[in-house]
Amino acid sequence: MKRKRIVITGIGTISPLGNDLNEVTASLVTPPRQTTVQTFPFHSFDKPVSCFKPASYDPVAILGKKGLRTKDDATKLLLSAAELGFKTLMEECPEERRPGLCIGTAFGSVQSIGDFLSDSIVNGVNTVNPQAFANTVINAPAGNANIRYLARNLSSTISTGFNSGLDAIIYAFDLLQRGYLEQIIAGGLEEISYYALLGCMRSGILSPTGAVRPFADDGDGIVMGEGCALFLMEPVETAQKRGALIHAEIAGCANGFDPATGRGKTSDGSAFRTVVSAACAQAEIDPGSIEFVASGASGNPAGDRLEAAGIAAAVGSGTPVVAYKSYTGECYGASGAISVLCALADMKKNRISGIPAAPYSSIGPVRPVFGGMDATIRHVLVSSFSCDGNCSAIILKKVNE
Amino acid sequence: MNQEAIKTAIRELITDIAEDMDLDQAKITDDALFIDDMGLDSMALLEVLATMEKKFGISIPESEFPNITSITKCAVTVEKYLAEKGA
Amino acid sequence: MQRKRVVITGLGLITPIGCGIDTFWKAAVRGENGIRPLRNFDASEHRTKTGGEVLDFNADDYLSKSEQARMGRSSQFALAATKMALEDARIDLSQHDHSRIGISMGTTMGEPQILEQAIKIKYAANEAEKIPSTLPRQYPCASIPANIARYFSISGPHIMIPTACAAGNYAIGYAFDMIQLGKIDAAIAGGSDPFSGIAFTGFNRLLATTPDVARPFDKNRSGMAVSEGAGILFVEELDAAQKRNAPIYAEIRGYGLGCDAFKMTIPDPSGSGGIVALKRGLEHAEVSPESIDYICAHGTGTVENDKTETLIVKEVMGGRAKSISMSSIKSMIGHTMGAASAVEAAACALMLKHQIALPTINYNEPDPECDIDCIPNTARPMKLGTIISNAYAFAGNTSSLVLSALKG
Repeated sequence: MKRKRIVITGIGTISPLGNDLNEVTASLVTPPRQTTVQTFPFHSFDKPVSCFKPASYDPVAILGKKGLRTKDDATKLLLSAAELGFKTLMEECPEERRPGLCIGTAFGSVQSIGDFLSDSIVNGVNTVNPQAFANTVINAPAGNANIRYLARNLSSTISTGFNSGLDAIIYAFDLLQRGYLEQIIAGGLEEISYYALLGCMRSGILSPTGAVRPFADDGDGIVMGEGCALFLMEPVETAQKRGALIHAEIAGCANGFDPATGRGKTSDGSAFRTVVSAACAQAEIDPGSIEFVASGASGNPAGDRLEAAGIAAAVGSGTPVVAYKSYTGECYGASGAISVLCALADMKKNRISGIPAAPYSSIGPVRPVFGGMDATIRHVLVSSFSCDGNCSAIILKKVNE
Repeated sequence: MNQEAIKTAIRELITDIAEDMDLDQAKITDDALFIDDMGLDSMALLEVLATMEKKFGISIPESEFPNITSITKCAVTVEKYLAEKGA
Repeated sequence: MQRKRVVITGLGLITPIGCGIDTFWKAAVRGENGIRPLRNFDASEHRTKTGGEVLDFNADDYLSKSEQARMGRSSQFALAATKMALEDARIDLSQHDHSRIGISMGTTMGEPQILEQAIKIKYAANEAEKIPSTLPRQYPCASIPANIARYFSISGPHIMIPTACAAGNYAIGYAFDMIQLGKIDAAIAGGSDPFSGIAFTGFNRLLATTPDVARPFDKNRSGMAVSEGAGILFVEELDAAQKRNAPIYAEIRGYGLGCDAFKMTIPDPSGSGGIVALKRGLEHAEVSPESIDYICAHGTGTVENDKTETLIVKEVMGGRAKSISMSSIKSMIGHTMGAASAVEAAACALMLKHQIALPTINYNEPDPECDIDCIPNTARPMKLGTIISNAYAFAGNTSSLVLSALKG
């Protein structure tokens, strides 16, 4: 069976970098500012907690009031990104051919899940609103989007922690290879929630200083972000037939797991290297022809060390490496998809957007890029090697229009 | 609490739900039937039931569910269980 | 090019009617009821007091104390079931390239008991600092496949598909895809969910839970029973399985997915998503409705589901619908959430092996709206060639998996 060439032909996003590709491109030059959160429905923190949120975003303005009353923030983020990116496409496509949905998210809405529990503890199990229960399944945001657009062809949710967004794209890529359907909207989503913030604080990975310093040898943890980035994926023939604008080709992709992680064992980077090799083989390229790596480094030293060693093992330590999380914080399930979005923006501009800070001492063995640099970009490796052990790699290839 | 106050509380919730479901709000009257006249669905009725229990601090048994058909019927049911609670 | 054929060679089961393949199968053939007054979960405040709990699961049989301390009940279930499945498949992993083995799991809630524990600690102590620092990492549902991968040192493609109560079918289907695409040689696929206070409270509040037992397709059915468990399949390429003389339960012929796109918590009464999934399942498996001998129903025991599922089968199967045997094992084990369709796929594999269709128990009075042959109360020895397993979910996810006894 001949492999289909899969391309990205549409973008929908709500993110700290902006709500479309142009805004994202601009924000990679003028990085967004952090904000803070403190108070949530049933709980609050003693002091404000630094985070990145979408700067100008009003779900009611995008979606209208109808149908939002019982929807949570995660669902609103997803619906808003889908509405901005794909409303017309959905409406114009006959129902039986409408794109399927595949959403990566680490937690769904853990705010809704935790609040449902908190409500039943505080007010009793017989007073919680049954409508709120619908928001507690991890696939609720995706399901709500399927309902809004009468999209009956696919509703999948992928949850592999920090790698969810990349893995959702990989899953969609595979389903398109099978020919089950013609188009899939795939990407990642995550909301900022009290429970995820608390979890990060308790496990000691949240930065106490609020500084995002990927690959820094003195990195003190992550700053959380939220957002959603979605991509319309389809075979190149389908895209050309309908005259669609092609943003890039997903030339290769793969995922896997490093079983040495999380057990105090030392990773030799071989699992990550195998994953990158598989993606490169699929893309029919040598790792040496990758112009830069969009890594998943976040400022959590344990994870950054793994990924740095993995990248060095897979593509060598000379390839420029960036960390878009230095612009958005750790957006969990959305972060991989946001990295793809930023890589698309950089690819179009023939630019590499490095860490927007004065150079600091890094953990090695890779050399992260600081500030911006111009370069001809044909292939980008978007990767994530999370501290949980998940390894994912996607090769984006420029398509000559 | 008098019946009018109860009705007002229920009416506010029904208006919220109707607006969210894009239903014709002109059809909301005290005696209009939730499903047949207003177009609410079974999930909305469960929410009405749950909200009444929470708002008025009462427990309404499942057997009353078929009687929750209009704002007036709701108010009567709430009064009944408020009285039982008070007794 | 000839498509790769994918077979099931190992099973692992954790259910309220027993852990282990033989224990489960014997109880299921007997028609045992696993829905009982809850013992481990305090249901004193809830309207429903019954559910399905796995009472004979002893984590010590599968994991050391320190391993248990690192993971939630869902992961423990999944790991125990994986051990069973690998043993059942008589596979020696040390002889295999671990990067060519995939893990594809499903769940509804992930590790809800971890979050429940953390929030209870916060309220009880009134300070979050009392939450152990090791607890948060155990919560994400991604920890379930991660724990399997770490335990068996498996580095191949790795995914968690939390599509609620249809998740098992989604996970098994994707494992099948990955083998046919040539990404992997074999996979550990299935689903797991522990008893969840969130699910139990939620279904209670939806008035969807039965006050006593589950009676799928019965006129007096009174709702679903919240339950827990895990089902794991070891799946591999036919050639490889035959080469190593592995026991083969069944062949995965294909699957179909769809979505109601109707409401979050109730099925589309017209069965739209279920019809899409069933038609696609048959189409992808390249089998005709006429060749289907049996359907393992989603059959939750709620008024809406069973009526809609009957409609779906009639729509796709046409005149044959009434003569097809279609039972719900949820009558015995309740609704094990994200594990349900994985447990059902494992049960289907056993039915194909033994040529016995499992019954729908607690069945007394026929419902004209569910006029199918639900194999009432007693297991039925019969010819089983090609069979289907349906699974539907919150948010409208639908799925149908097609399995066959291995031919020639």
